[in-house]
Amino acid sequence: MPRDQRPGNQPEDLGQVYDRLGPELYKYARVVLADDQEAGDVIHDVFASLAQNTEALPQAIDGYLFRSVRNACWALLKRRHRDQDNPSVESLLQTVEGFEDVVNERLALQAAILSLPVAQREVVYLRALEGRTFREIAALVGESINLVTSRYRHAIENMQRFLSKS
Amino acid sequence: MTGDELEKALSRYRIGDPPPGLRARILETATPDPENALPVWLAIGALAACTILFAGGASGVYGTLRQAAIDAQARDRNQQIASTADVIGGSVVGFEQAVAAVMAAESDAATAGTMANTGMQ
Repeated sequence: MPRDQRPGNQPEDLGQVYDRLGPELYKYARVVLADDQEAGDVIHDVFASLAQNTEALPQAIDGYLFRSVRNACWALLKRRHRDQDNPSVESLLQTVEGFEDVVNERLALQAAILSLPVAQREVVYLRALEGRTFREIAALVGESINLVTSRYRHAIENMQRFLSKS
Repeated sequence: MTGDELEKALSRYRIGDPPPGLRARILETATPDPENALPVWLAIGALAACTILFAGGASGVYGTLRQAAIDAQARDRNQQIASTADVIGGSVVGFEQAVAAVMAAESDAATAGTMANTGMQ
């Protein structure tokens, strides 16, 4: 996920920018869209657009790319019909190295995440899976810290309810 | 499961990586294929051809307009000569006098126009 880690002012080519930011942006798009194909398309389109505008790149490219991907994801969600809003992701969650893969738990947590409204899914990803602070999340999504914190709390409660039923 | 337990459980997981082909797909799209790229000489040739065609077309249009103006002027002059010759009497001598009168009138008009354009009185 973008954290403005660009070393010095060294210009990066597109491959370097992708290597540094692409995978995290793709993961974000996967969680928000709940669709592997669409997530790949969004990342592809954002980077293709970036390649065509290399002369006008903003200095803070990390934040710029995150906002571009986020805007593209939310625009796509708005265009979606309700009946198409079925998750289409394979193995959304993977076990972090060093931990035992408990398949039942992994699938249950994955289902719980995908059951959340998109805005809550977004904040759960950024906070619980990416380890962002609420301040960072608020800056990224352009909302207040209180709103983001409250949304996260609701998301955790919703996941608890989902898991207790299943 | 409490909220803390849920968060602890989530910390043991991460979101799956992008497919390996995505990077190649992005770079392939972003980098123009030299085999499919338009050769420079072809682009220059097309530009030159367009310029020649445009210039040719423009001069053709100008020529047509200029000829139309000349034709209209000649038609007016012939009508004036014919009507003046009729007034004079319609004979050969009358026709010659009419031609001289119309030409003298055009010359006067041209001189007056030139003086007006240059601000002379």
